[in-house]
Amino acid sequence: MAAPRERKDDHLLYADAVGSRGKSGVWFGEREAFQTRQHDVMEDVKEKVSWVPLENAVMAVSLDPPGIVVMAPNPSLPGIIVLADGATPENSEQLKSQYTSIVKEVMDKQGLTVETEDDEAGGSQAG
Amino acid sequence: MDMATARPVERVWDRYFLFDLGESAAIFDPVRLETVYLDAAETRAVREGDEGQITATLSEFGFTPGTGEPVDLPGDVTNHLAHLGINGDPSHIAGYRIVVTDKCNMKCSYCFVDTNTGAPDLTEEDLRLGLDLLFEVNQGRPEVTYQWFGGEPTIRPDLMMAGDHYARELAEKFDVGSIQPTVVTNGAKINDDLIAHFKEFRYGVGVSIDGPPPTNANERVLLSGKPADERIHRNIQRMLEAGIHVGANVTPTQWNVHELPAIVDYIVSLGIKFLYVNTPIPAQGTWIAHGPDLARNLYQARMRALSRGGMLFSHLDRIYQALDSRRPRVFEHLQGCGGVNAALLPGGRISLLDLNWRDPRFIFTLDEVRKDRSLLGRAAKDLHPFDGCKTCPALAICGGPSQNERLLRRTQVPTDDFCGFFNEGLALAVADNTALQ
Repeated sequence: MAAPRERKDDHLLYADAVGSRGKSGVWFGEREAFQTRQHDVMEDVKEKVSWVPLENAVMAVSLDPPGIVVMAPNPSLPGIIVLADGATPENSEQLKSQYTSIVKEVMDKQGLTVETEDDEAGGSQAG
Repeated sequence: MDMATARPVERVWDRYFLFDLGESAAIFDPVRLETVYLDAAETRAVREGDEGQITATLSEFGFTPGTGEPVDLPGDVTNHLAHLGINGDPSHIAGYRIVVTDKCNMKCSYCFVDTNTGAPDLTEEDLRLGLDLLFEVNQGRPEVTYQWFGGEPTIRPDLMMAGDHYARELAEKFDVGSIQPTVVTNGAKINDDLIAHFKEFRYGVGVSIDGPPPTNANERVLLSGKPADERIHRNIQRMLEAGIHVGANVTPTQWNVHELPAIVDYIVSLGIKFLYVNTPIPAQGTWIAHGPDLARNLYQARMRALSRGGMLFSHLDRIYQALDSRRPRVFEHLQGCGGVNAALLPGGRISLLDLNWRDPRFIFTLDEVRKDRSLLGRAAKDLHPFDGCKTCPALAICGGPSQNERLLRRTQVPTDDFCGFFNEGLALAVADNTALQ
């Protein structure tokens, strides 16, 4: 189904090379400030949802197809959760399959049993 | 999908571009900068010209069939800019690139500055008068930024220090919330006094590095011909240990354009997490990096930086920002606040172009600028000066070569590298809807 590009207006640096703050990494050096704000946001979000911490989660950045994949140990079951966002359903599906295979390959190598099933969140779980 | 093949392959209704994304596609409006991602069935309908089906789908997103009138994309962009209230007239001087000296301890062939000519440095009086103007026109604003530049600005630390102290006084006098000095340096002459000063004034330090020592040595060696990488790396470590914001400025050349992703790894290994890849400056009349290759390698390097917990910014971000915000980015001289960054030159002069300090059409005395704000409008370029702009999908993103580029090349006609960069960059950004950075 047709979908518009995600709208984003909060780009932190403007276009050209002359922006001193961008060019010298000043803005990046200030990320502690936004990380504090992110922490505060998450604290409030936690008040509104049921949640468990995802420890040892990692985010992989894929070039082809472009997208991100969050992989984390399932906090309550033995498997590894793989959540992919490739912006289009086709890309997301491809990323999910690609990274689930990587997890399975690692588990195979370690002699662990691998079973795969789709979870309700649209991600995969290997384990 | 092979990213290198993501190109606009078809025009739809004469005014839109269809980008091939494998079984699916993206349709792009080059005027409104709207992108809509189509699934496989919708893509087939568009390709097969099933107007009944695609008109309904696309009209939902503002894509409409032509009226039979000839399409005038540049005219439509001009009208759209007017509708958005965007023109090239800067509201004020937002910041300076302060050209302290033309003396430099390196001589890189790609540098647009004529270095070591024996011309006089900025005087302390030039500096104070220039800063007076900057703070006058920024009265009451939350922040004023300025950048120390050369030659190699750290050859004159006395001027940098005097200027920062004076700027601090002026910020108080003109009710400016804070000052943000930055410096572009090769990093070879950073000493303890400068580090203490950088720390006191919360500097952002942009160190110019083109890659690991063998790559860096293609351009960035001392006047003696010897490399200074070890010394520069030590200085970077000392600044990082002192808690100073350090970024790396990479200039893309034929030597390093294909290595950009690996250069990200190298620079991150030095402890620097922020990279800025400069827009190629045709100092010798042409870009020294192949435009489409540059776009592809920047795309990969950007992702590589993100996957290393860092960030990489470049001209590619201009394209992403235009697509994500649906806002044309044709006037590259305008800062986010609507102002312009000018160059403060020796002799009480200002150049409205930050990279070109010779053309008298853009150089004024402080008093001239103070008395006639309309002079700032000269920084704006004429849009779409080239026939190829009329059918270019990136015409609302680049608008044609910048004033700096035109003056350095002495023509309004862009090179294939320039156009190739924007076309390839657009194809890559359309295919990447992850909004990661």
